[in-house]
Amino acid sequence: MSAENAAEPEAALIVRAQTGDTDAFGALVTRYMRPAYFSALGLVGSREDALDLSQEAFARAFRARQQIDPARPFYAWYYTILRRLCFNFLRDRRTERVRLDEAAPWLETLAQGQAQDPARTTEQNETRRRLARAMATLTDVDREVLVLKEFEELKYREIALRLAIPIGTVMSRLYSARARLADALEEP
Amino acid sequence: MTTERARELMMTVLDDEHTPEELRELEALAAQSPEIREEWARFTRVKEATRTMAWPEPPPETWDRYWTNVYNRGERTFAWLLILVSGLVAAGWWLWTITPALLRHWFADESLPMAVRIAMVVAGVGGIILVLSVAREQFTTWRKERYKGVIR
Repeated sequence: MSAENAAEPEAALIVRAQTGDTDAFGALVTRYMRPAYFSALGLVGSREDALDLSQEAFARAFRARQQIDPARPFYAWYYTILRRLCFNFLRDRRTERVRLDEAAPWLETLAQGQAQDPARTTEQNETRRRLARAMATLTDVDREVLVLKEFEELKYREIALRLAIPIGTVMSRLYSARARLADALEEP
Repeated sequence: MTTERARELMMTVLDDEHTPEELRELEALAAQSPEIREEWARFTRVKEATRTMAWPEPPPETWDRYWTNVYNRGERTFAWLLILVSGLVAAGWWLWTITPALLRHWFADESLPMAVRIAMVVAGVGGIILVLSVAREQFTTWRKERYKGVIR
């Protein structure tokens, strides 16, 4: 991908991609591959599956590129494909809990790797383990909203727009998810 | 039990998306309710815990190969589609040419009882209905799925 493509406005890249220009679509992929991967990771909890699903969603997005509205954000449109793939994956495989349990290292503490108090590290690891386990017990839609808020740091309005749900629903899902996490943190 | 309004207020204040009025409203509610104060303390602990968490970075080469993998995936899907279409055409042509010969053979073979010959034809018709039914279902699903992701 050239530096020229990287700097090009999104709408122009979409229009070029719609004419079959794979370089332009490649620039879009490169621009959004990281949020795509991490969004999928938040939904399915497994690195390999997140990589596979996010790439498959881009491949499908390319096939459906004529439906993209260049006037609207590409990632919001792409995300609808990605979340459907991820939810279908979780539903079809029926292995959600197992995979999320297996994927405990999918969360890491921000301070990991830095020298710090061993007791503090142990405590953080325990917190991480409990959070990862509790997240696995959330419903798909509650976990999705929590991930968008806490890890992608979107505003309520942005989450509501992305998921096409009312802001009140965003807040009630967040409440439900956090209540579950709070229970997990308080477990003896 | 906290009210729906108290829950919404706790979320907005926790996420720093509140107005000054909402903050005052929550403070007033919390002043009157030990349950809300307790729940607020629980949520602040969760918020603090999730704030220190982040996704682990994948190996750097993941990003180097990412677009290539997407491209290859699309290309291979297209290749499989071509193989599938040509295979279906070939199979269709083969069935179209072989079926009359088979039917002639079965009906000319007087050693086969009439009931068996009719049963074979009926089985053939059943097979055709089955294939068409599955194809129609797949097509309907594909049409619905195609528009599922479109924001109207």
